[in-house]
Amino acid sequence: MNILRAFHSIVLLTSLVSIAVFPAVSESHAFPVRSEPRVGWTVGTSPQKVTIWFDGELEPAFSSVAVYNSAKQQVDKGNSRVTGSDNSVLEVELPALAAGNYRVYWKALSKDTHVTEGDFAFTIAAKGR
Amino acid sequence: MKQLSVITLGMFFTAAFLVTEVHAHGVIGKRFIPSTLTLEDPFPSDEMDLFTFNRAPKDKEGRETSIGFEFAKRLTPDLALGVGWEYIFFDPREAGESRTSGAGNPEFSVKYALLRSIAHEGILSVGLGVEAGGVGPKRVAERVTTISPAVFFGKGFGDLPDSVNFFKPFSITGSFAVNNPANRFTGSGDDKERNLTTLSYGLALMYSIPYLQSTIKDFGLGAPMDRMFPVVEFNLETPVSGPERRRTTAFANPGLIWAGKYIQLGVEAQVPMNNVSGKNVGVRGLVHVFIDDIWPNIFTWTPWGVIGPTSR
Repeated sequence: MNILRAFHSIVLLTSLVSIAVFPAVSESHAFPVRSEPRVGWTVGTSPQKVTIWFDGELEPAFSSVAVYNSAKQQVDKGNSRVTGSDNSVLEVELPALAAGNYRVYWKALSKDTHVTEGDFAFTIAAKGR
Repeated sequence: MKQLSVITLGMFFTAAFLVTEVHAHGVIGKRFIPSTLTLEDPFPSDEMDLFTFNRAPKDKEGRETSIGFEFAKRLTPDLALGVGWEYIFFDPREAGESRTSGAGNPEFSVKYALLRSIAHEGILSVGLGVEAGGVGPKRVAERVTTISPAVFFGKGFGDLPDSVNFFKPFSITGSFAVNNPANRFTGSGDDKERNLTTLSYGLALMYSIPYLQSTIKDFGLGAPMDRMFPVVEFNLETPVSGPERRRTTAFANPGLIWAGKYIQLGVEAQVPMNNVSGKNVGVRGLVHVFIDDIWPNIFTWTPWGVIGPTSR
């Protein structure tokens, strides 16, 4: 068996296995894809809510998001929830916030039972909506 | 004594299984560290290297190319067993010697996570690897069984101060193993071969673009950059016995890893760092599959129950 033939065989085998495997795919870890406000950005007015879009379905009972100010006080409305047609969006509403730095903490349990978590900051540059 | 062992073992599995939070492959806190291509990573996982490819640099004996696979399965959230095998092609340096190939020796492993610190994105694991000598033909495989106790660690830099925010996506993993041959000599007469005890060790430094965008600043990088991990691995091996004692082979392996939801791809160059390590640059590739994500109903199962909150 020469190297090239073996290499081709393996690539072929890999492709066949991948094709066989991926229709069975249903769930996985959930990692954030994007958020609003965007990670690390400054917004001009207080946002009405923080929304995080994930790349997989979340388990609502074990997934949450909260927003804290620079004094480490929770400032969101405490109504964190999983939304979206495929349960892949995590959001929490905010009251009108003053200018300043805020940090978002989220925790997500995907349908395959894996926990992921993270945090990020955003800044409000001016008061009011 | 036997009863005590059974009870101890039973308690170990019970205690291990009472951990209710799942630690996914390569995830510690908010840090995801993908499997590295050259060094063994510190995470006990349900995963499969569906295809590995390694074309090593030329050394004094010739050039080795191998293709292989590896499979690992957790028995508890912190304990995993693994098996790997390679098919090896050897191109000798000496003129007149012909190319040869064959299946190498199978390698078995066990890995246990001793410590995890979610706040500091850290993990410390211990493991034991066994290469079953003499299974593969001697033209490509060692005739001696090698037993390798090892220590692994991983650490994300997420706990750095905010003033150095852009260093937070860095992480480092490393390993240290002692490779002990079961017999000092194999063969007889002209064929007699001395088996060396060696130390193998290394570090992998990687930068996580996903961590950068989800934790530090969203630069709006799209696919495929948004799931990319630039990496450089350094692997070294030093014989501690025999005539080649302290002649360390060392390689730098810069490369790129792309980690999707179910599959991970990686490619690295293998750059020899001294004359002992060979000439030319080698290449290494990996197709890695997260099997517990693809078949969660199968690969979260263990003889002691399902791993994770679904067992509650």
